Amino acid sequence: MSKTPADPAVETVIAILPVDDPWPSLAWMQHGSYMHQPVPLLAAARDMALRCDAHPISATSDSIRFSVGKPAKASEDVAMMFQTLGASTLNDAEIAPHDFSKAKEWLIWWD
Amino acid sequence: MKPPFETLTLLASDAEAFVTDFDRPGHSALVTGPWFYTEFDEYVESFEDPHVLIQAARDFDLAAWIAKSSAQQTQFEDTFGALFQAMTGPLPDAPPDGSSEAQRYVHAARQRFADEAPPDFIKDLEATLEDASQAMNAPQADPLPELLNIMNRLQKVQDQAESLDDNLRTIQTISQFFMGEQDPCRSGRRNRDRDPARR
Repeated sequence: MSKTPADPAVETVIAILPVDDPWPSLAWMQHGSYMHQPVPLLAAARDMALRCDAHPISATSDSIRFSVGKPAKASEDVAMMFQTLGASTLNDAEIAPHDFSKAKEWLIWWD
Repeated sequence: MKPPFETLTLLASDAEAFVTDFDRPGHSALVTGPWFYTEFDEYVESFEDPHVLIQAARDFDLAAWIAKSSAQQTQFEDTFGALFQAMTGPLPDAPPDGSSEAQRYVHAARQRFADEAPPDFIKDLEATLEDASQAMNAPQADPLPELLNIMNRLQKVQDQAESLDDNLRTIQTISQFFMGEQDPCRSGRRNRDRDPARR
């Protein structure tokens, strides 16, 4: 489980969303800058859940953090997918072909 | 306005354990933040039914979309690369067919974007290109005011092109070039400035 994105002493809102799986929860985060193309983003979240056991665990207005259950075998494909979705960085690296196949979390920013 | 789902407010130090241990059939927990409500208010008028989005995502051909989007982005970059050259480099003599340089680019843009771009985007791009061409062809004119004007118009084109999201950075790059930024290839991080979760 990841660390939460805020300072421990800061109030944090937990959204309790009526979904069976974590991936559809992003459908309620329509205020996010990552939601310019909501259906492809949700399809990507679903794809990541199936392929990498990756689930969104936190969402700000311009970032999504995924916990990753299985290492990404084709991490470049994952980077390209999020790049196509307009993301700018993944785990503090420019979102370009980059080896993050061992990462247990993906923190993706849309700047 | 409250979002259409249940929320809880906890200290961040407790939120991690809550999400980790959360177990309610038919529900998932997601950490957001205290800024959530304000930004939710801002967008709620355009809120789409989440269930419709979810179902659409289940049926969505992601691989085909990525392939198309990547190709489309390349097309846009090619075209705006041509625009960049038209606005910053020396213009060639009149093309053999007698049409102006701007008309050539507009023609190319029409061909490339005919299926994807909204009509206003092409219309404004056409006008901006035409003016850019005229500005660069005016030997006695001070180019700076015209370029600033074109930059502003590019910003308007950008605003109209929200549905063409992948290509906004290319337009931003052009705008930033005229603003004299050192590294026009990187967009700003303005959103992060308002975000308590900034790194």
